[in-house]
Amino acid sequence: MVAATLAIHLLLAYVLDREFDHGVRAAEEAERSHQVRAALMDVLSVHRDVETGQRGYLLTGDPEFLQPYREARGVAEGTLRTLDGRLERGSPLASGVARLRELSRAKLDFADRTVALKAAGRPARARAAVASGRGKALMDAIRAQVAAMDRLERARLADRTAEEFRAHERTRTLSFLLLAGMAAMLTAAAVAIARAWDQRRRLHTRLRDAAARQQAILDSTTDAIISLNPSGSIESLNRAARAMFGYREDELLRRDVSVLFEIAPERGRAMSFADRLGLGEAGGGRTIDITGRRSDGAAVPTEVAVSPMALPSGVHAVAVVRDATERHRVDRLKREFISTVSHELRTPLTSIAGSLGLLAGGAAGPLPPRADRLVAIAHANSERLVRLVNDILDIEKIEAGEAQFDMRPVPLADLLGRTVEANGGYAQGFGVRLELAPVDDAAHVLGDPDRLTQVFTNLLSNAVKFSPAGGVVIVMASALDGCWRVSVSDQGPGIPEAFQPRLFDKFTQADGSDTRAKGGSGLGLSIVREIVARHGGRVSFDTAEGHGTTFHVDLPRADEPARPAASAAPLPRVLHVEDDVDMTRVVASALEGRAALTPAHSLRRARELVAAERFDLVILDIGLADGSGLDLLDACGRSAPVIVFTAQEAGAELAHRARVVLVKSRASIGRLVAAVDDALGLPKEAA
Amino acid sequence: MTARILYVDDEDDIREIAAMALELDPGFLVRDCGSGRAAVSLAAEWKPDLILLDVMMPEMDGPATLAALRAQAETADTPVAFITARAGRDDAERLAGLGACGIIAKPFDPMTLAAQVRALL
Repeated sequence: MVAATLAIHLLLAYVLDREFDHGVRAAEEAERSHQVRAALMDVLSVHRDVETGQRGYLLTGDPEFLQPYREARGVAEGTLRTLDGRLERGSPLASGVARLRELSRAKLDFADRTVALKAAGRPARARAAVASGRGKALMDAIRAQVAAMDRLERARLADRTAEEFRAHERTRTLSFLLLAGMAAMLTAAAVAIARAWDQRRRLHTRLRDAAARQQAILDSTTDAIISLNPSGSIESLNRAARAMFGYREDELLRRDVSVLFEIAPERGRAMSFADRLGLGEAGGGRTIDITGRRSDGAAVPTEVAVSPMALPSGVHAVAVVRDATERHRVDRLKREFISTVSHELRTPLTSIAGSLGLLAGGAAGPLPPRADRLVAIAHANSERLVRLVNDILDIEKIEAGEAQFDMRPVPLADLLGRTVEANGGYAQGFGVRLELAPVDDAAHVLGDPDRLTQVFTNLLSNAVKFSPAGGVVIVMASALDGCWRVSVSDQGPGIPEAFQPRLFDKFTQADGSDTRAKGGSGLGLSIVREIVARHGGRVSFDTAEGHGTTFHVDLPRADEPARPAASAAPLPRVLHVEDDVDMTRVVASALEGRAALTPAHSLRRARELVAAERFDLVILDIGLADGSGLDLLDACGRSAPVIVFTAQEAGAELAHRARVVLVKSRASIGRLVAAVDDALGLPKEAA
Repeated sequence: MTARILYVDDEDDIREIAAMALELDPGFLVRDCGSGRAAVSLAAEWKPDLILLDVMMPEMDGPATLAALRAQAETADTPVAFITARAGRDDAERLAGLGACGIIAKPFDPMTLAAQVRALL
């Protein structure tokens, strides 16, 4: 639009300039035309004066008349020259002027001759010359020529004027159109500006409304909300924050957040608020407990959730702070209540369990068979109630951080041996056998032996409860990066996938009916997780429905990791042909420190490895994605012993061709380890 | 070997059951009483070989009773074991620090209580 307006401006200037030039030229033309016509009149008037003077002298003979005659006679040629000079180049009047000059010359000659005859005293001849009419005729011709030229000049001027008028009209129209266009454009621009301005105003209003609404929302929440710049300076805070900490907004803006919380002050390093809280960069969304500091110096327990807010100027943070005083009070009341109730429950339980125990134990003499059965049921359930109360107290204590842990190096072989032995009787009651794979005597973990016994007792008790009659529960220990992993494997039904996320929650078992059927409190795994967490370890599990479950407890090791590979003889090399990547990892971790495992996830890769390298042992799966492991059996069998580890049932023929055939399940890892030890001739360690 | 056991607990039912459980050991002579105050005077008179003291009792609790027992010449050296529903490890350590020779957790197993006590003697 700006360009169009500019173009119109330039065009208009050009048109007006041309119009001005036209005007000036038209005025000049008119002036010149007038001068031409005046010169024509001069020519005519001079010749009239000549004629008048000539006639006067001829009639009167008075030389007085010769005076004007001579004057006019003298300027006649001059008037013709003037006329000629006023004509423009190429004027149509130019030929007229030549004709006029001829007539003038003839007329003047004639007049001169008559005047000369009169002056020579021959008046009759002069009169006769005049009477001939030649002088009059010449004069008429001059007059006619002048009139004709005057008409021509007038017509020319009229033509010019008409043309100028038309040009002027065209210019006027064009100017009008251009001005109208410019006016339209200016109007459009004005409308556009007004609209943009209105839009801006509305946007501004909307932004202001949004900001006000947001502030109102922030101010109406009961949680304190503080926004911080990347280095932890306070940028904004809501009403609840001001109330919680007892400051005015201007007292806190641009101050470091350590004014409000007991955290490390900023030390000039570019350290984010999340870093300073120990949350790390990925700490967004997590809630942590920190002590806040009010303006009057009083401490406020708070829970703070920090979320990162990526802005062009860096990662800012929003901290949502909740006063945790009430929560702490309620937690304490809850713990006190649970503790009191549990202790109060123990008193009547002591009487009930004691009475039933004496009856069931025959202290009051033999009972009739049916009464004996009923007393046994009541006794078993009173004991279950005792366990439940004990578990509740335990977990409350551990969660509240009140439980004391007496940490020291614990020999794993001894701990696991005693726990397995202590639970042997319990397992027998379910027709389940407990098996402990050999544990390295040097294996020590850092922990509280009583608490760890509790952990493995709970895991064993679970494994036993979920094992089929005649099943085996295997306990084994393996070295893992910086820790010892104790695995407890059962041959039970596995954990349904839907249930897995809630596995460690309190009071859960796979379904409600199971809780009763298995007689657990539903707290066992919660206790396990809490205790292991307090040891700085972690609990995990592998499970497959129908194929059993293995729980792993990883505990920090208290011994020097055994490195037979580095110091003494190199580890025996074992090729593990298996297309299930998870299974290769499980086996690798189980054999860590015993053998150097090379996994091959396809038959093709296994063939390449067998051709290129030498192995001391091959663990071979049969059902592989790209073929059958049987095809590899003979190729391997020539150079190294083979342990077939497969999900398929082994035929008798296979048993002849391989050293050992094991049917795969999570629970059979212990047997695999034993078979590997055996095949490699490793010394068996006493449990 | 015959041993005199004094069982002190404010709960009558538990006292009765404990007495029955202890008497499963034919070598035990058991008496019981329902308060710390009664226990202090009975112990001075009866001179038991071991006193089993409930911790939480009204008026005079287990530790106070122990202190009173230690304060009187007749019972100053009598072995005392606590029997308590609060048998957490920190509780056990606190009670052991008071000079008890053992801690038995409630609820106890009546069929093995006598053996536990025998081990303390």
